[in-house]
Amino acid sequence: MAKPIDLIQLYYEIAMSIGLTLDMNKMLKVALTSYLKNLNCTASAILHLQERSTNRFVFRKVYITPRSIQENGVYLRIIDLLSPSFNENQLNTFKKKLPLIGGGEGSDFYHLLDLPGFGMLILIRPNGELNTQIIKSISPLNAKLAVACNACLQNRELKKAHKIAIDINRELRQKTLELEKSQNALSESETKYRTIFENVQDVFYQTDLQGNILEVSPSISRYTDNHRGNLLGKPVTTIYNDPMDHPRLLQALKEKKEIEDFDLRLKDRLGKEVFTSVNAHLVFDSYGNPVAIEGSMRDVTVRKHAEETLRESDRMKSDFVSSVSHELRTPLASILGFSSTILRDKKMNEAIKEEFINIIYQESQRLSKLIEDILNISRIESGRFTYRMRKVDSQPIISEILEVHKIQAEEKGIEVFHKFSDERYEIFADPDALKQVLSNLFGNAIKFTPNDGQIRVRLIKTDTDIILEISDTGIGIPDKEKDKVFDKFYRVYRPGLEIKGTGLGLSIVKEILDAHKAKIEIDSEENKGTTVRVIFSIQNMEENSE
Amino acid sequence: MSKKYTILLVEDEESMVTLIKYNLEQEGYIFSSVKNGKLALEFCNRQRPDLIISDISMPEMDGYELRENLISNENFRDIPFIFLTAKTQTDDKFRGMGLGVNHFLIKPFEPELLLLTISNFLGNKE
Repeated sequence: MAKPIDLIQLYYEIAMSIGLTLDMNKMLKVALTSYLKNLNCTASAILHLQERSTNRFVFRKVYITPRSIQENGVYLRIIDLLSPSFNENQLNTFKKKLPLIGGGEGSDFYHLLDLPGFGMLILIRPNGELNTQIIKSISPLNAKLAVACNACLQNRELKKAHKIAIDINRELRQKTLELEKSQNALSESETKYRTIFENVQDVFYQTDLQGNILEVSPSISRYTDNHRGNLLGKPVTTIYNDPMDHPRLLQALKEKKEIEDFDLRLKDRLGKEVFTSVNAHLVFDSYGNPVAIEGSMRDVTVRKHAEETLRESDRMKSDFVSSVSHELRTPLASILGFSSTILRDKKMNEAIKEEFINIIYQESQRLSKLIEDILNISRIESGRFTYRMRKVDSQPIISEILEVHKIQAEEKGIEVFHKFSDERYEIFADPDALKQVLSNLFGNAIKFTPNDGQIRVRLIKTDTDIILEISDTGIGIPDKEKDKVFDKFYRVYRPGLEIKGTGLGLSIVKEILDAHKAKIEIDSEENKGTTVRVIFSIQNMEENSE
Repeated sequence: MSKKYTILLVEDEESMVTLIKYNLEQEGYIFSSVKNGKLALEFCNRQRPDLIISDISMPEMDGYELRENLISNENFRDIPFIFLTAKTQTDDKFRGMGLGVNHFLIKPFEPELLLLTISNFLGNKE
């Protein structure tokens, strides 16, 4: 039997049970328990009206009590009734029917009550329907319940939002930490690379495609008189020796994307060229378009010069070989030609034959001297010649060689003047090499001085040097040929004057004197004469003889 | 030999001049010699030789320059021209060939070979 409903008691109890907490489940549990108890109902459910999409509304279960309600046939019927979605008109039509009460006839009674602004309250009552009066009187309670439900919803959203906020905050902190970490690592590695960048010998640089310098390492100041600060933003041709090198580099990079050992010359402080070897590649933007050139350059000037010297020495060697071949062939042509002629011509006049044999003899001597000179110079040049250096008094050696040459001079009627004091003229030298030098110089003086000329030999001692001076009244050296006199096989030519020689004498002299760290100076005036000075430094002698 | 040919030798080595003079005169050629290219051109302007033998390395004007001058002159272009040289570099030979030099004789040489070469040129011309 259902106990009678005390309206005031009911009203009071239900009212007190609503909105005790903002947790939807807890709030509804308390409130609905009170509804059921006070209204003698066995089950209830709260549905929330939600706009699923524009002008489409659905009811969703928010709370049911007890659980067994889901097996109640009446409840299932109502839920079925409410399961489709409604548009606004349908919804309004439906709402006008509320409260909707039905059931009975062997099954429970149901009550669909409006929860204004929130949704629907379903009450299941086995023992008869609630009367209109009760329904009416609980309507304000339903409104209050709706408000409480909305408050809970808002609270839930708020909590959700709060949780999201907390999550976001946590994530933010996490990210901030990571960022700081990577920034630290970055700045560490930047410092590291900056240090390398600033201290390497090689130059690292970046230019845009137009050739403007975007970055360049401070080491550039080792190569040119520019420093990093005044180069940034400037065209790279500021430091390139050849303005065409940039387009050349760009072209090479367009073909290969990455290049190594690209030869590039820079301008040095004093306008001297700096040879560099460049490794470079193109830098691309995120769309794959080339935007810059990045490269490193290394100073290879020393290597380049070494290569140049090597090439030059190779060229000189090959020139020498070809000159030697030419010089040997000339006397050989006479020897072969004359001997062959004599052998063939049986009726040759005796006087002519003797003249030819004389030529053969002279040319053989010339050949022999040539071979000797060539062997000498190649021995000296290849470094296989060992100088036996020691402290020697140069004066007796000079006198000895001069005596030998005086005979030749007398044949040409050349007067030789010399006056040496009794003083010692000590120099640091190899006596045999010195004799070779003297012999070549005296020989030249006699050879290039016409008959009845004069040769003066002086030995001078200054504070710093010992100087041997040989002056002649010979044909002299033309101004334009003065720098060639030490070249191998160079011979002074004068029309009408036949002077035999190998063209190697002064080359040998120069080589030997270089090895002695002695200097040679030549003053000459065409048709007046030549003065040769050989200068031995006393200091050099003292350093070496210690 | 019905006609006496004049042969000009351009050479600065005195012994070479003596050698070639003797050999050519023995064969009945009229021999003349000068010491460089410049003098050779002067000679040609006075008297057109039938054949020229020239060294390459000479002061004042070398053999190449002489040959260039001769080629650019219609009167001298066709004179048979023999280089007699101690230069053996391939470059030199090619340069000589470019200048239309008829023959290269390398020093040292057999005088008989020179005589044969000369008679080939002058004989062919007859």
